[in-house]
Amino acid sequence: MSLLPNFKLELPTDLKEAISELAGGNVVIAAGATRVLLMSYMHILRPEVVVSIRRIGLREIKVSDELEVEANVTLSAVARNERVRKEFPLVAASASHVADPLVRNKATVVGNVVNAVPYSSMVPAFLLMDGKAKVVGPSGPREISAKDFFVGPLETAQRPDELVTSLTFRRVEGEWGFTEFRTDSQLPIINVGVLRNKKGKVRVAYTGLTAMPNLLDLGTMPSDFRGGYREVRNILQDLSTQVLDDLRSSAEYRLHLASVLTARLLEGMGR
Amino acid sequence: MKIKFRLNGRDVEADVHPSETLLETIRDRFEITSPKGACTQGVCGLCVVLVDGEPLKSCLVLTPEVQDSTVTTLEGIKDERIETVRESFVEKHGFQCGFCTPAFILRTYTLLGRKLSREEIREELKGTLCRCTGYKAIVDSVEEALIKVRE
Ligand SMILES: Cc1cc2nc3c(=O)[nH]c(=O)nc-3n(C[C@H](O)[C@H](O)[C@H](O)COP(=O)(O)OP(=O)(O)OC[C@H]3O[C@@H](n4cnc5c(N)ncnc54)[C@H](O)[C@@H]3O)c2cc1C
Repeated sequence: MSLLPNFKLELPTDLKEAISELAGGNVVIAAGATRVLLMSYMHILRPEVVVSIRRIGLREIKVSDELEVEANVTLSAVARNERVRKEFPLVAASASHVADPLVRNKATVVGNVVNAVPYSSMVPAFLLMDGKAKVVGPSGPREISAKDFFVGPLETAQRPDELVTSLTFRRVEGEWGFTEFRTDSQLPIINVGVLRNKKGKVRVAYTGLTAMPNLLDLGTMPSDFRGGYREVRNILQDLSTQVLDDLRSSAEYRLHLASVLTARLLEGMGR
Repeated sequence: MKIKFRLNGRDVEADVHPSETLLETIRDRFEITSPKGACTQGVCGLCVVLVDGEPLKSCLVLTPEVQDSTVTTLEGIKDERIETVRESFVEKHGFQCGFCTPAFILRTYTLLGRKLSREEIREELKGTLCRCTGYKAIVDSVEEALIKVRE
């Protein structure tokens, strides 16, 4: 007996071949394949054909005035990279929070963001750092900005016949923070990323609060915990009817978590 | 699909199903049993193997993905430092039922040479579960092994 439901597997060896494989039918792209396999084990996903892009190259981490992470770069590679740790610490910290070292050795940064699941660890950094997705399809390359990339729950803006070749993250100045909260499950309930620029203006991004990621400008925020908590909780009240309410966590609890974790990060950054 | 790779120092070939996992190939076709299938959905980390030196969960690897790669299970580690790791697990009682032990020994092996605090050891061992020890004895064993190998 086999563990996984049966599917066909294509392993193209260059980008062009990969794009042409996407042209027809019920095709699922896999990079690290960790989520594709997890969903297949659970029979939530029943792919007919899996197109693995592992052999098409795209393994580079490029650092300039921005960070570019290509489609086959693993979370471990980014979390370990000295330049990323020093110059893009929010990206490195987010990557090192995903799952565990074994999963991170296979799972990719791009797959994590393209997932667009409510618990995606890398998405707050992608939003906060004015990320862009570089995409290639039959009609050539294009770029999609982070704020246009998430179009629905579990849905991102690349078309089924397009491949995300890399993600970019803009270099940011100022203070940063990242944290998450998880209970018994392997998956985080909520992820929080915060940036405070040199003028003291705060931006925060969440995954796991509503069905889609959130990016909010908070303006100037108090750095004591109680003050921070009160302000964040007030601001989040506007979202309260959209907050996820499910088996893993009630809406009220998610709002509380988001406020507590944000206030803690703001307090910690002040030191 | 016909696949060639290196397994524990030998060049091997297999004709596998496209959706066959490396865990199944190693256990069922090559009868190497240190990688265990317990949760078989990427959580328990008992199926860990090294692919080109990196520890991965073999239930999250499709066998065709390892074409031309080097796969090593605990059985294939010839480095004598592995004995030190084993001894440390015995001395510090780093196991009870033993089901997760090959996975923890292999993972400890990948950490040898590094200087890690207990907190860092815990962080590094994430992703492999033990239902008996409560982990303290495992962290003790790893700590001991790292120190002994450094000495
Ligand atoms: C035990 C376990 C724990 C986990 N914990 C976490 C966690 O803490 N946080 C978290 O965010 N996730 C977690 N995950 C989910 C998942 O493993 C990660 O999100 C991972 O980063 C996905 O990357 P991947 O390369 O394996 O993606 P894949 O499984 O290869 O792909 C994921 C999705 O993205 C699409 N895709 C991938 N690459 C491309 C591309 N280049 N172009 C277009 N589409 C693409 C795929 O079609 C698929 O829909 C966990 C999974 C497991 C098994």
